[in-house]
Amino acid sequence: MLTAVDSQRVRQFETIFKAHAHLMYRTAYGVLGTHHDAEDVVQTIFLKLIRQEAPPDLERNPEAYLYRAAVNASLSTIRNRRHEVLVESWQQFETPAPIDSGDYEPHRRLYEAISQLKPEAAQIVILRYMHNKSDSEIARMLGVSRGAIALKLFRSRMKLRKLLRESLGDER
Amino acid sequence: MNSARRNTRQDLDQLLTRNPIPSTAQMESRLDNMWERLRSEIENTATEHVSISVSIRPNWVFGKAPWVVAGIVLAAILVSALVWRHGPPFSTAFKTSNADEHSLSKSSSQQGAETLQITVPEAFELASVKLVPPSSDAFKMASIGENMQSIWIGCPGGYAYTTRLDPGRLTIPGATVLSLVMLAYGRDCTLVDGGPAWARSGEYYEIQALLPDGTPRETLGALLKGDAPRLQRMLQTLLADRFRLVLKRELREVPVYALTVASPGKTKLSPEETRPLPASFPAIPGMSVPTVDRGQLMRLPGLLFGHAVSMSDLAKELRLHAGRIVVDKTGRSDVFDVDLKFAPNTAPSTTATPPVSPQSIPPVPGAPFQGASLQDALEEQLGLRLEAARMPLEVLVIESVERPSAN
Repeated sequence: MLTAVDSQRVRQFETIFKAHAHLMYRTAYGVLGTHHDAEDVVQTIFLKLIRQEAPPDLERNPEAYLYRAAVNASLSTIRNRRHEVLVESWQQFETPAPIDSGDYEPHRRLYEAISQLKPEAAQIVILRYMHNKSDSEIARMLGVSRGAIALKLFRSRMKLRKLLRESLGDER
Repeated sequence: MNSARRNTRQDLDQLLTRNPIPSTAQMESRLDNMWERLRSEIENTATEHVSISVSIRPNWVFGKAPWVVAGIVLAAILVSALVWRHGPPFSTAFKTSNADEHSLSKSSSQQGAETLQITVPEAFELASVKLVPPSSDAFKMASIGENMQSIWIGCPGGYAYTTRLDPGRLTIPGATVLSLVMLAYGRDCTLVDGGPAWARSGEYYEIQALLPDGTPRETLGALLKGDAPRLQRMLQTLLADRFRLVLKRELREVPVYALTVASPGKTKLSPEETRPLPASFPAIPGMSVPTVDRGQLMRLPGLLFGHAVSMSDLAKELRLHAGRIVVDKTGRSDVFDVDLKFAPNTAPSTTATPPVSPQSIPPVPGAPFQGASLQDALEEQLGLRLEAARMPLEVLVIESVERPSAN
């Protein structure tokens, strides 16, 4: 039997979930390419929130907090994958959704590079290019100045270009 | 030089703007299911949450200041003790400072690892193991699942089909010991040998297990793929503790099929996000036009239909129809659409290494497609070939196993 406090907690979480889970899911899917992984990322974040006390950042700006959490968790999955040997069985599987060209490899390479950026830089890059947000929208969402966004985007692009060149060079 | 730079810039722009977008229907349905799971988790943890938040905040005794003062005093005492023991700072030789730092960081990381093991043990917090009574629905379901698996993949035992993984809880309604070993070790049934007959077929166990707090979230799909290491180790512990399972690992030459390219250029890839399923597939609840997403492969007896699947995934699927493990030897890393019609096989084998070749598999009387065998269909429709081969693979041999102890 739920108490009134518990019911209120369910409603609060429901409001947060319904308002922000879509952005989180699209972000995780865009980075990882499978429904499975996207679901994993979003669910893990909400489970942590349910089991711990709500962090002050979440109360201040839930959209920014949850978006950051989704980007960080997705990129962390990419980083961990580099060290994992996947043992797959025949039973059930889902391959990453390929991009327009039908080839997932460049996308994987790109997000491996993005996972090496600083977390805030990665969040800005993904907001700009995956979600088509303007500098001012990003600035408002993450609580930083527009100038800082432009500068961080410029530096991130330079670094990404270098990382991608290195990653291609490694293969050759 | 300049044009090379321009190319890299263009490449990066293209890459950054091309991202997979989830289909709205899939996303909505998954988020709805997720919310139901989360809701039950909130309801389960609601009371605990209140008690924890009270116990970790001793503000009712006194404020923060005395704790800060106590911390500073303690730190001062520790620093004095260190100075007394090792002499004043900077008096030791610089040469040794790196070695000291190294050993310190090493010991602290070792401590961290130990703590992690203690707080998140690789065993279920609580597990109930019950023999499923033959009169129950769970027994019938497990029995049907086992028979289907025998027909499809040539091994009795089958898989824990109706396994459920909710936040903090794993439920397996009815599975043989063989199924549990396959799940715990992520193995094909042909790679698990030995054990008494009761452990391989016809005797099903219900497992209800609570996961310890702090267990990293792993999905059911990952568990079924053998890609949920923490959960798998917990199942391994359960098998060792409750079933007294002892396994031996052996490298054996196993008959397999090598999947190779017979004639290149026969596979195609539709650029759409989804592909509509043929009318022969049953309707999918909540979907007006049943479709498959990129990376999905659907099956009916004698029919495979998929969108943008990889060769290694096709090989895994073909395992179900060929009677042996299929190893991808095509060397292809791209993805393609699958629309394969073949006469479904009916040659179940109860041996660990079924000696059935695709050519010898007779078509099922009355099957929807009487034409080509699997091998011929693969060659004609996708330009791929299945070749019988032998390959050294690790086999788990059940040395001993006991019926489980009471809960």
